[in-house]
Amino acid sequence: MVVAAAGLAGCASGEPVEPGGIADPYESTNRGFHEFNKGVDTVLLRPASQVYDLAMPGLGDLLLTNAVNFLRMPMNFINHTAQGEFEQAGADVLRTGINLVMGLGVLDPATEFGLPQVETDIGETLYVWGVDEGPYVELPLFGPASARDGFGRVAEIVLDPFGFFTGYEGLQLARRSLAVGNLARLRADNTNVIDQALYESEDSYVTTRAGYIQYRRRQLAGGATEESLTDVFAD
Amino acid sequence: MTMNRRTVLKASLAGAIAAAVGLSLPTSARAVEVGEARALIESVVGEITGLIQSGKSAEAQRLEFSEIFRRNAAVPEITRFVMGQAWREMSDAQKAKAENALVSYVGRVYAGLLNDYQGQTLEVTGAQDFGAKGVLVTSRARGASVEDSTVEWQVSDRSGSVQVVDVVAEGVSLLQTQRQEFAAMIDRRNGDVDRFLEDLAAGNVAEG
Repeated sequence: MVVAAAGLAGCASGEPVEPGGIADPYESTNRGFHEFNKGVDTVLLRPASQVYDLAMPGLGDLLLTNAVNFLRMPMNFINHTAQGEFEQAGADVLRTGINLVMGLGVLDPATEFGLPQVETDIGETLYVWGVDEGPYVELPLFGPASARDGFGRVAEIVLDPFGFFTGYEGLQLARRSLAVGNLARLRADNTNVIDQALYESEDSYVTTRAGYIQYRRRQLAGGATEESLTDVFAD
Repeated sequence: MTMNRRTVLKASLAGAIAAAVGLSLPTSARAVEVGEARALIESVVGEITGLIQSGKSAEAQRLEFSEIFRRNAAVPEITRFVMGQAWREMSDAQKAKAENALVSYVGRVYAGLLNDYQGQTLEVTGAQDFGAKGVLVTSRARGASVEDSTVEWQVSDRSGSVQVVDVVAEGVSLLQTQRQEFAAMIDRRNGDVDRFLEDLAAGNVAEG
């Protein structure tokens, strides 16, 4: 897995990149996929999120969020462990136990006990391991990513024990409906940002790329860094 | 993550070391004071809040937003930054034109975005010193029906006065994003900077 990711990231080296920018050697392919993704958003995801916003009651939204978070536990646990965050990995297990026993997986008493959901993913693990970010890729249906994040996102779908293509047979339909509902929820939660990037910008491909990469770098760094800030006085 | 005794100790130790290192460094004459930066943003946020609540016409809001931008931001440096690679080959006339085009573009685009903040309050919540890069002042937009959002203001006095040099919305730098967008827009006009500047000034920049 690491070897493949390192191989992907290896394509990165090349021309120096400006602040907030990223090498984009596959731009013409990426733009093709971007148009496809934008089309999917226009005809499916955006309308679904509007329905979700209107029709989903607050309680349903809460239960769905909790269930999705609950099923994220194995992935979070594996990744926190792989990152050497053993204390957090322990908290992941404890959290899941509490929410299973006291909340049947759809309530979240663990947060009240000081054990909030701490999200992580394979992309972050690769970052912690020192794998290069790699060039920009926009993947069909997976959206904008660095090579490192894109690899992580695809790997997660395959490896997640409660993922889309895995898990116990009886639970699969429920799991997939949950995943679809969750997509609509995430799209609805970020409606302003996504609508602006896709439908109100001068070049939605460039805006998506710039926005995603800055957001993600900052998330991985745990906040603003001196390096991430603009220097308007530089030559 | 819970704070146990060990992490508290580690954090305070790190704080003590940081303070000691900070004290031992000679104070830079160019670094803007956190207090000054915060005061500037308090005033800018006040002006913008006033504008949102003023109920003025879209045209009046656009002009007033441009004015707020011109008065509080490092406009010449920002213009040079967002024009990117193209700046080097531009004539003096084009550079002057770029500055005015940017001011009116900012008014039009960001005064329009203010509608999204209708009914919300914008409040300064903190500030962090980033040395030569300036001070990052944090503000939170809060509203009844929307999730809170963060807007950060990068403030520097390297031009000689205390000014805004970038705005970071939800972790995304407007200048860095704009610079990449402008480069793509100039590309799409086959490198014709004059045409780009005319389109920018006229608001003729939508995707198409």
